[in-house]
Amino acid sequence: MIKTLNTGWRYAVILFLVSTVMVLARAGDARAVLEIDITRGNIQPMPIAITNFVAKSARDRKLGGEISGVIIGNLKRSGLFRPLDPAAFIEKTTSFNRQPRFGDWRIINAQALVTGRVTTLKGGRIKAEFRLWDVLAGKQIVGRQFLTSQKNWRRIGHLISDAIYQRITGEKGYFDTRIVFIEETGPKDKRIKRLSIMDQDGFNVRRLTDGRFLVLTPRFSPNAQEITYLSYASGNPRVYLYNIDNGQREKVGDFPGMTFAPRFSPDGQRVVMSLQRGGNSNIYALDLRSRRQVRLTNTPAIDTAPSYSPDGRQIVFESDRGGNQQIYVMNADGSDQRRISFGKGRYSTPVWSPRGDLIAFTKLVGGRFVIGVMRPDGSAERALTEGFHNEGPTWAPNGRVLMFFRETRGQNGGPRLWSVDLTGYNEHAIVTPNFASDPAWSPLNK
Amino acid sequence: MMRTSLITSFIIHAMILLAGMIAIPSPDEFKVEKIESVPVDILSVSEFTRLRAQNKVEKPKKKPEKPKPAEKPKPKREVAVLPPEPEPEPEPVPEPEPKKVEPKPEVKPVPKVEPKPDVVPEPKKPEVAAPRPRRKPKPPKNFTAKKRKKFDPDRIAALLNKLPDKEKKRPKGKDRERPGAFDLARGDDARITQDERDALRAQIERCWNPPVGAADAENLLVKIRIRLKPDGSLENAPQIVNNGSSQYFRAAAESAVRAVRRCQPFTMPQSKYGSWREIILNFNPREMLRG
Repeated sequence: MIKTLNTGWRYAVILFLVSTVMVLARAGDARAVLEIDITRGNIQPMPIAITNFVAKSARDRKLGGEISGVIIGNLKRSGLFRPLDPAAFIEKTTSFNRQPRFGDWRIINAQALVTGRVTTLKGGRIKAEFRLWDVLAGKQIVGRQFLTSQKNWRRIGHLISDAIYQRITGEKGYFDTRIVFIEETGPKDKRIKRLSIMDQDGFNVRRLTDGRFLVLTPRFSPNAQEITYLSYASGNPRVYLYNIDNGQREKVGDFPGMTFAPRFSPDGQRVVMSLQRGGNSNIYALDLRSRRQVRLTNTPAIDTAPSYSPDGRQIVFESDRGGNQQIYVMNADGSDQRRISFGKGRYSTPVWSPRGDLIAFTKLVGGRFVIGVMRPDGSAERALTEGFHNEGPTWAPNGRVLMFFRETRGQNGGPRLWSVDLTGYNEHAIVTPNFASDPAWSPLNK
Repeated sequence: MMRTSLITSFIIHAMILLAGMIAIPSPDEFKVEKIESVPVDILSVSEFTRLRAQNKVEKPKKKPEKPKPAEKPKPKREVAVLPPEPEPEPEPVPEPEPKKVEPKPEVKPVPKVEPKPDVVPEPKKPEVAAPRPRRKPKPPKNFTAKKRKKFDPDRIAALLNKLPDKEKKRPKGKDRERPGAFDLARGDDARITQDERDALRAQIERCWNPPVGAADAENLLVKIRIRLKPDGSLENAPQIVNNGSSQYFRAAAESAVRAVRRCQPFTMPQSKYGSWREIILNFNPREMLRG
């Protein structure tokens, strides 16, 4: 009987059997697998072990320890990491190219490990390499090297911190940045205010003006090499541009009236500011190359404190056209001006997050100052911190951390810089040599 | 004539089957809903009262061990002072000096490490405790022996008969076998009860540190498939089942994998191993996010 099967018959049978078997095999996959939803967790700073960077010479080893120190400080201050005490380390890292004994790190509950190496090269340059290890998975997840001049070593610590932060949290880092602020010295009624700049971890503080004239509201340009600020150097308050590289200053136009609260557009081509003429204040945009000014608001009210959205298409500002100070949003050409804040109190200093998802502001309500955030449509308003006098939030370039200044009461009181995470946690003071106010966070250094 | 039509019939059947498998996408796996039938004991009032009395006496440790002392997130208003860094001295610069442009540090990738021969080749795996569900108090020996055996339908009758006595001897852990949890039709291990699911969920939630600062964090769902050995430890690397390209997704997925690695071995009822040998975990931090 089988012999009589012709070829076509045979193929048909085989095809049929094969397809049946395949269908049955797939059907076996349909068994139900246990499925569980995990919707809550346990937010804690991640325990991370950061070893001193190894090196051949004693001097390089000292530098390696200092670079590790920068990384430890950055990650700890972010509130998302908990650097472990080196005294608890079991394995002593002596070689950069050797696989760590992950068991030794798991025992002390490290979830991540950082090892590195520093080498001094000819011509005053240094090379720093690091590896980030996932201890639980038992493998390396980041490895990079950096070359730079000797005196730039702190920046290497910041760049490595950013790389670690980004890899683990998924968000861009913010450690390789600077803060420009107003340093205040002298007695409370005769303060001397100087434009100053420092690294975000409080090091490398430098004064940029000499304090002879009042300076206010410094802001960084998107390329981080220029600052715009308000100065009374020419008698009337005027907006100035200051080049950090060469120290040159120039006035941004010579408008009649007073100019306030300047801010750069995200492409760095325009500065938006408020201009006070004849008793009311309106918002103007100035093209930096052509010096053409465009008027954006035209009300008898006070419109001020403008801030661009990160895509440059909208501007958030403060206005009292509705009776008291509230927050408004408009298109970058001045159209479609609409109010977004409706709460009790006086809203001011709105700043759009570099991530675009939130607007931070200061609110005065019931005699207390609140720093809060809301979505660009005004919903989900949330307070992050509250106090006797908090003001002037500025965003870190990753849109995750805010800095503001807080004034303490009394004759000997003064303003200090503070920082808070946008989840409301990790509020802490920033160390400056003297009183400080009006901070502005730079973009990531280039 | 008959033969041709038979051949054609076979071929067309086969084609339809194959086409069906290829063209029709496989359906999503059945999502097991939270609300499902709970195994139920039928007790008389007197048995119930006796149970309650015994529960009070033999209250087992229900919660898993507290996590190692780790820092709790600081309350909103607490102030943390910076570690004592040496205050940098302000330079007495009257005029701002021209600042040299710092050269951009070059970034190059480092070659991956190859484990050298003199390295300790395998990290010692942490000692896995003998498989014993932690939350039970020490059960009487005879009962432990019984639990270890594969579930035997024939013993049901014996169990049912001895129900009042059994309640005395049996410890009151939540994951003990309840006479109601039978699936006789399948004839193999019983389904996981709601309590056991909650227990596993609690074990994992304890270890999960989700990235909550992401821009769209409430929509970050990570699906992980794990395969467990009978002692509750991972058989192989956890598998990320769904796709996501953003850096936030990767961070969320890694946090989920870390949670699973940290908290193994999991405490699950031995006799139901077949039901929890493979598990899909859906990590979604939406319940944790404020604002």
